[in-house]
Amino acid sequence: MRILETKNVTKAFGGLVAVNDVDFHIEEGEIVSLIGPNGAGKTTFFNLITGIYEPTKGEIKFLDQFLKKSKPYEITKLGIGRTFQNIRLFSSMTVLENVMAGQYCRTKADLFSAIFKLPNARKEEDRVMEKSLEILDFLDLKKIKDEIAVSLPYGYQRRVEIARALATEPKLLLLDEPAAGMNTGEKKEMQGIIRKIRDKGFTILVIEHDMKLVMGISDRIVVLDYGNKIAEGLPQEIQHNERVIEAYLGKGGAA
Amino acid sequence: MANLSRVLFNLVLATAILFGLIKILSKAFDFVARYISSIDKKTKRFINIGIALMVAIWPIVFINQPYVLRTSIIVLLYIVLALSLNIVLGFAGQLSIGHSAFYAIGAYVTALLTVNFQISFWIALPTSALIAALFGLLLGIPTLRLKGDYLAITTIGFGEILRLVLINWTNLTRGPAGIPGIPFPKIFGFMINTNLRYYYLILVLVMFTIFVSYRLLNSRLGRGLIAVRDDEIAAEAMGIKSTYLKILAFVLGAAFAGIAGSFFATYIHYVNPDNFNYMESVLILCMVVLGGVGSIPGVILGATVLTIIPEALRDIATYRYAIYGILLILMMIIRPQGMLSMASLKGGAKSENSGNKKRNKGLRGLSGS
Amino acid sequence: MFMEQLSNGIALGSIYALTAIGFTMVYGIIRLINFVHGDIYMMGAFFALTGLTVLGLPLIPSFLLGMIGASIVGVLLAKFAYSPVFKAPRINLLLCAIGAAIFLENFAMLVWGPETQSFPTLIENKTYSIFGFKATTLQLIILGVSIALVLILTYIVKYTKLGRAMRCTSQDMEAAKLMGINTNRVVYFTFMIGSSLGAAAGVLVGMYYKAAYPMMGFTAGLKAFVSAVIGGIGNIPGAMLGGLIMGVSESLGAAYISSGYRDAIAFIILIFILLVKPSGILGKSVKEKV
Repeated sequence: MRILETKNVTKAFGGLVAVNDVDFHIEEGEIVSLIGPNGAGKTTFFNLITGIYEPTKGEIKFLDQFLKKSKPYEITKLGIGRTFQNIRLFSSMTVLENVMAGQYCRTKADLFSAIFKLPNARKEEDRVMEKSLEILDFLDLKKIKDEIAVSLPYGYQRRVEIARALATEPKLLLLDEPAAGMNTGEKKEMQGIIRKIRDKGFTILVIEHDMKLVMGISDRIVVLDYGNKIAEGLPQEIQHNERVIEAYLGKGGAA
Repeated sequence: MANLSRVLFNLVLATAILFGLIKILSKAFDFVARYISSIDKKTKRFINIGIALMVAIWPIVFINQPYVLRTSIIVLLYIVLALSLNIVLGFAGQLSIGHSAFYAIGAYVTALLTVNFQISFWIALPTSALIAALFGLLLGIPTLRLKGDYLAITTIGFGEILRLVLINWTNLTRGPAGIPGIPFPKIFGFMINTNLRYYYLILVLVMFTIFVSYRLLNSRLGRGLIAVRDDEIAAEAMGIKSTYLKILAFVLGAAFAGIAGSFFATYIHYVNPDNFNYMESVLILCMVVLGGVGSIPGVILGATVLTIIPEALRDIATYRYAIYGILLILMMIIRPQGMLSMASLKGGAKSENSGNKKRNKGLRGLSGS
Repeated sequence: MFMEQLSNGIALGSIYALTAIGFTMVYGIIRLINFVHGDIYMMGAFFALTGLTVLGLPLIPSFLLGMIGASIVGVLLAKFAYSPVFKAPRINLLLCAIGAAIFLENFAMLVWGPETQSFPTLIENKTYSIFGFKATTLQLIILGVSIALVLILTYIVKYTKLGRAMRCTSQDMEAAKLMGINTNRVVYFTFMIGSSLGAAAGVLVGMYYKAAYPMMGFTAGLKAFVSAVIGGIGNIPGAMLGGLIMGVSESLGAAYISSGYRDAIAFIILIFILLVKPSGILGKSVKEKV
């Protein structure tokens, strides 16, 4: 089943076309990587899907629903979770609180019941706590749950961001450069984490620069260059695709 | 010119003293915060009960010293006010500098209802909160969608407009003359007419404010608010409806300021527009910032200190506001997180730096793009 | 009546425009709502007044004393109050500015007293009538000085090296730094120019209303902000336009609606603008990069 589909999606900033006429889809349970040189429009594409930008043209369909003028929080509620390229954790919160904040859109208690801890709010709080601990356990973060999240080393922060995104209970998880700035060992670990998440039944779209990681995890790869989709296919196909090599190395660069 | 050099000398001296004081107290408060974050729940409860008992018997000890009682009542009143601003500034991260407007609305609603319509204080109190909240909603909806600095100015503007209305709408408010003769509150025939009784009345209101602040902070809505304060874009990406939460905080803050205003009116028995000027808003703001934005114990401390200090330093009363200005600047330079900050109470005092660095994003956002 | 109010409005508007320019310049460089600006304007008026009365200087040196004195205050504040928190979260900078504003207001109260001080009458105020417009000598002087100062400013921003550095810094401070621009110097220079324009407005207002008092900067600063927002904050021509709109609507509003609510008009315009076009008439909207 196609979980997300975009048709002719275009985003122009003034004269600069950051994403141009991109058709894209992702099937349930897939891991798809979005690659391309710097400035190819990958993050912009993410921001279009998550409603931070509104497309200049084209449409985005998520689970049979068109995301037109939807606000980011509405899209998250529909089931798209994300992480950020430059980590954006809540700086005054502990790891646990960050993850619990991710559960916000799956809870309902209103002001009155929250303040007087009515039974429904109490039950909900317990569920949030349980669920958050479960996610932290799943990503091996339980032992640092009471640390202030932004005081942690970089690799952990990335993992906390993933945990927070999982807490929104997404059907589709968008990871923006999850292994950026990591060493080889950490990258390998991240690869394991992404696999593990998929095995839990999540669909994952990753932006990543590290080819080893991309080739290792992807079911399918989509390549963007100057906002255009230039290739799409299995990892082996992409590895030998001439347009892709050209985009990365320049014309004649392969020689 | 002699005057100029004398003022300059005094202010430089004040700056130096404040600088040293903040430096020393910072160390002391770091120590306290580390201690608080290290003690277990049981001891914490024990300490809280101890403080509550002390506050409860305090007025009985000083029953023959009306000055101490009056000052204590004012301290408690400002605790309600500072905590109400803390919901807006501390939890939601929205800089509102017209907070005394809601304080004024509460006071005037109570004054008008009790004086003109002989309505009981117990009805006037929630009505004041409700009407202040309504104004908060009306002001919040157009402004909270916008960037923080616009809000700051708009709230000042709102405060000024309100003051002008209070001055000019003489049929209703009697203009600059104000409304005198606000009666004592009565409950089941029991008149609240002594300082002691007023003390317990405002103490109950303080407890209620603390209770709501604390419960709010530890609920899903509180987490949502702090998320919005820390990083609005990330918060929205986590499914948090930031505009709704900001308005909620604003309305709640306005309601509590209205409660404070209502109490003020019955306690002083007289309201006039000058009670609620810009400097009053600034004073409340200073309390929150000094104590630690967002931190409930910190804000209580800030309100207490800034109410008592001017009483203690009567001799330099003319320098009071100038010193507040210096204090605000020095705090921002030396200890922006306040005396008892939220993070330090969580045991994350070390991370204060990295926290700040992280929040530089705000600045990057403004120097870039 | 209408024509009279209109020329009042234009005179007032050109003062607002001068104040708003300094305000908008600072915003353009460091994205700070400079709460102190109104109080710099007040300091300008008081310095000039001191020059006139205590030191017994003639008008033009006093005027210059006001501008120079206030710009020194502006730069000192930028150096000691603002620059230590440039790197901190934005709300800290804003609170610093509020602190500095409170400080200056009360400093003036301590030095010159809280009472309103009267400005000596220096210029014989005649009324001229041009094409049905009625204008007084002072109004013409205000208009003339404002235009002259704006022309000088435009020259500095457009044709000098420092002006170019200012424009670079306001677009992207980091990039400007990397290009070898001493951004600190640009910031101080901006404060200097902005403050001296604000002070000029303060002196003109002092002469116009023949009065100076410590809190005179409070509403003036807020109105400068509103003018800047109307025109599009960070935009110099926008600030001028906004100032004129403000001045005229205030004069007309005070005359035809209610003089008691004169100061409220600015905020009603502000809330209206924020609802309709928050980026202002000449401004562009900017979104944070994700």
